[in-house]
Amino acid sequence: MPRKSPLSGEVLAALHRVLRRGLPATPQAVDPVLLGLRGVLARAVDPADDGSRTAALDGVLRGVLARFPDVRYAVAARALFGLPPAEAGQNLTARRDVAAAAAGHEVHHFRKRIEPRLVEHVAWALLADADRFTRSRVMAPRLAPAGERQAVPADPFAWEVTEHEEALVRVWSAVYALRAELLAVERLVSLDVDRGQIINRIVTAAWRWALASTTITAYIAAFTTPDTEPDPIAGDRSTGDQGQAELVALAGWTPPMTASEQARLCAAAAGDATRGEFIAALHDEVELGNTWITAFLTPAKPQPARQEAS
Amino acid sequence: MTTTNRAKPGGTSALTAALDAASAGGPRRYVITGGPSSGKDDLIEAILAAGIPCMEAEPGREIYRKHRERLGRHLLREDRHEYSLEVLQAFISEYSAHKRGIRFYNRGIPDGYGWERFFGLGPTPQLEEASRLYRYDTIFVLDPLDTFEDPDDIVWAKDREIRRVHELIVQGYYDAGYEPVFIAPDSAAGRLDFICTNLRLPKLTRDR
Repeated sequence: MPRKSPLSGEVLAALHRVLRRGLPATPQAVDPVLLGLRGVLARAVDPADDGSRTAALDGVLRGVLARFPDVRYAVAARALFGLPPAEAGQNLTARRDVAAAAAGHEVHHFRKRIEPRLVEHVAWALLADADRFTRSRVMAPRLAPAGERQAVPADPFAWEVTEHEEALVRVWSAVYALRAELLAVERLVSLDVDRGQIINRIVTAAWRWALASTTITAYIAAFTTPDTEPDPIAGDRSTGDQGQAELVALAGWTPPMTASEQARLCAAAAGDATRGEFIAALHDEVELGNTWITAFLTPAKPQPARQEAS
Repeated sequence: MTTTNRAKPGGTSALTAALDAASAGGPRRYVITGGPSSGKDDLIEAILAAGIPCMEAEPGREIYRKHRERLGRHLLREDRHEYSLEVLQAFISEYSAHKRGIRFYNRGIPDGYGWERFFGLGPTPQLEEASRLYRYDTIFVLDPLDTFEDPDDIVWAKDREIRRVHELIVQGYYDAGYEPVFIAPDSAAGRLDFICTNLRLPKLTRDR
């Protein structure tokens, strides 16, 4: 499935092909460039099916034309694409006649001067719509000072959306908290401070690792789609093809662990356990503790010099 | 100068007369929909204040609260179909209970398409069937009041999602075979006037 944003020229050319037949859009008359627009994929009931994507494109175009912002030419734009006052099935010449009359222009002037502008505007609106559905790869939400209170409308959609942002922020909060501990550990190791002080930090890092892992797992279970194929509609809701392990690894290096060891660490942090509760839960896990702690205390191998890209 | 005529049930205003006349005929059902922050609640309030029959509260809210309370946690993927089926049933009951005259609906059955799509779920057979069987006369889509952009051109993740919800709701109505009427951002009174004009009902506000 296409991921790259098409160029405006490609969309414009494809839209001219739709214009020849007018709406409703049919699979035969629609260019793959339009079917690959993110806004189209997002609306399709089955994004893998051309027919479904064509139906979605038809809806997007009708929506764009229904909300055409230039009042003087709104009716003309709709007629040009076969919506009332024109009729579905009319050829382009007939639709253009209706559109020119609606705009109050002589038809040749309309075809040469006005029509290209109208089609261009629709192409621009399609690209703007696609931009709204841009699927961002995993990244921490951008923050900015809030000028006013951010009230949440009493609406199930709004509640869901807000809870999603809450969960997403908690994920990144946990990942950054782990990052801070991992940086602190490496700094203390480098400073060669008292061993007990370093181990204390290493244990805190384990607790943070487990909290981040459980937070990410909960987020993925609640908010992402199960498909292995990156979901074009998921937008910020998706972790893309990155699972819990890849996300937590963004915080920095941690000792290699077996799946069983990871599961035991996570279990100890379940229910947002405090550091004390976490340590108590792992009281008998001497071997696991050693695996985690020893790996940090072992001197790191010097990094090979990075090769410059040729 | 603009004045507001408030039609009251049983009153004698032009609107009341039009509503009375409509109540002698078959049911006419109009949906008010749109994403969060579209001004839907204000418009519904204005419709009710004008004495026009209207579904006051969107049933999804209470059902959502009930599900949250029962589950004691956030709705997961597997819970959302169950929730949407319960909401669908409530919408069908509301639809079927109306027998004569004009009635506005706070969202409609095809809003379910937007909900399912938002969570990457396919529409249920029940939703598809209900969308075929229970048809509304006109769909009014309220375009968002907020551009969701602050002076620094930052769009919050939540706000971007809200805009996506809106577009998915609109697509649901196209999928269900409707041609929605879009209502641009305006005051609730202005939007109600637009609706009245569209439905050939007397306006609530008049210039003198």
